[in-house]
Amino acid sequence: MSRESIESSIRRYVWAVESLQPDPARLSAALAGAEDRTAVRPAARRRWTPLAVGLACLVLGGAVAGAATGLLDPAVDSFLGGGNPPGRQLTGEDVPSWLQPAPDFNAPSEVSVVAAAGDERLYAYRQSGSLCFDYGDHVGECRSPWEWRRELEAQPLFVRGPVGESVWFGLVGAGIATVRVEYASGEPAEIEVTNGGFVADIDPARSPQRIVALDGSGEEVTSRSLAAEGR
Amino acid sequence: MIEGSELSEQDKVTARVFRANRGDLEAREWIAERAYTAGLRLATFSLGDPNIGQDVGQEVAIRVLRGLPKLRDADRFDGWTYRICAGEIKRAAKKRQRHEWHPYEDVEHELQVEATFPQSLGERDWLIRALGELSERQRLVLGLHYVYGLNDKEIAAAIRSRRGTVRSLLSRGLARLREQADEEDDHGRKTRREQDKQEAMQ
Repeated sequence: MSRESIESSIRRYVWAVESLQPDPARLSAALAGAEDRTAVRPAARRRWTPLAVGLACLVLGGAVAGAATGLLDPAVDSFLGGGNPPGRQLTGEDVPSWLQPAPDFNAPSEVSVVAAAGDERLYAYRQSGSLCFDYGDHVGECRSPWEWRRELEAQPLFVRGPVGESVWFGLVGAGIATVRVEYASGEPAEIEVTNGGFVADIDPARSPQRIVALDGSGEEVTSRSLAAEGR
Repeated sequence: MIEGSELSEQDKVTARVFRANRGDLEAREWIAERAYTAGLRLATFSLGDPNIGQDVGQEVAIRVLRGLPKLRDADRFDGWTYRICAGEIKRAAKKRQRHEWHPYEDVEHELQVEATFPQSLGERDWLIRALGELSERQRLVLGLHYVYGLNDKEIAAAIRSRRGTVRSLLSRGLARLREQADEEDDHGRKTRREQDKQEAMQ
């Protein structure tokens, strides 16, 4: 094959590559994901630091690596430690179509619904050693248990969104019972946390401002700005 | 710095990096989209899968946004982003090799790949396989040259390398592609000869 034909083949290929555009939902998730680590509030950091130091001491003291730390919701912690996916286990037809067994597809053996709101569901499953969370039928993330533990232990309120119309998905740390969505106008909405996760169908028309994680007594643990997302 | 039509592309990038670091949300979104697009296109070029490209694009955008306050020279934003892309592409390729990457391998996924590359299947598959045989640096340099239209001097500045090294990577990369095409042609001719022989014997 001549240099010219190789180049023209590459150029046809590149023409297709140049037409690709970022997925808007994933771009928004990237903006939110970047903020997750940079926008840690000082109070929250202070609250988690002694626990982190305690954890480090335990590890240095010869405790089992990767064991439960108390920072995570017990259902999520168990999943990260090798247990079943948190929440209601799905079987047969209830398993979402993209996770159903198919030729040349290593389908997960156990899929669960962690939390739901309307038709939107937060799914969890294990696949070839990775742990995955799917945010409805929009997008999903698979990482190693270690990577999830590092990510989730760094923040008691982990959120992804908005996907679809205006849905936010999240995982929360131990002791968080509800999340509250505060709007610029009107009453806030409270969403119950189930199995360490939640799905929040947010009303974009009322300009959501903050999502707040609350403990069992209704005390604020931490929060995330939603105004930054422009929704 | 005032943004206007008289500003060069580089000035616009630099201005937005400054603004994003001062908390300007619009600039931050612009930066995220630029980084995401670079990751998406360079990864799809290197690995031949737009779904993995989207994964890489998202990771690159996150890493760029998180690292932006530490970027000392805003003029070097694009080069810095390309280097992050190279790292993420490497990671994605390793994950795929170890079967730890799980794009949704269903009909929709296949259709998306097909729709992205309208050229003939044989040509596309050959090219993706052939690019996979090149070194990471060769793929990155080819991607920057063909996808972003950068010349050897611009690539050298972007990846902090010497111009001669970039020229060598480009020419060796193309030479390796040609060698593979020749090997493929030879293999095709041999296979056809064997088929002819078998048919004659029958």
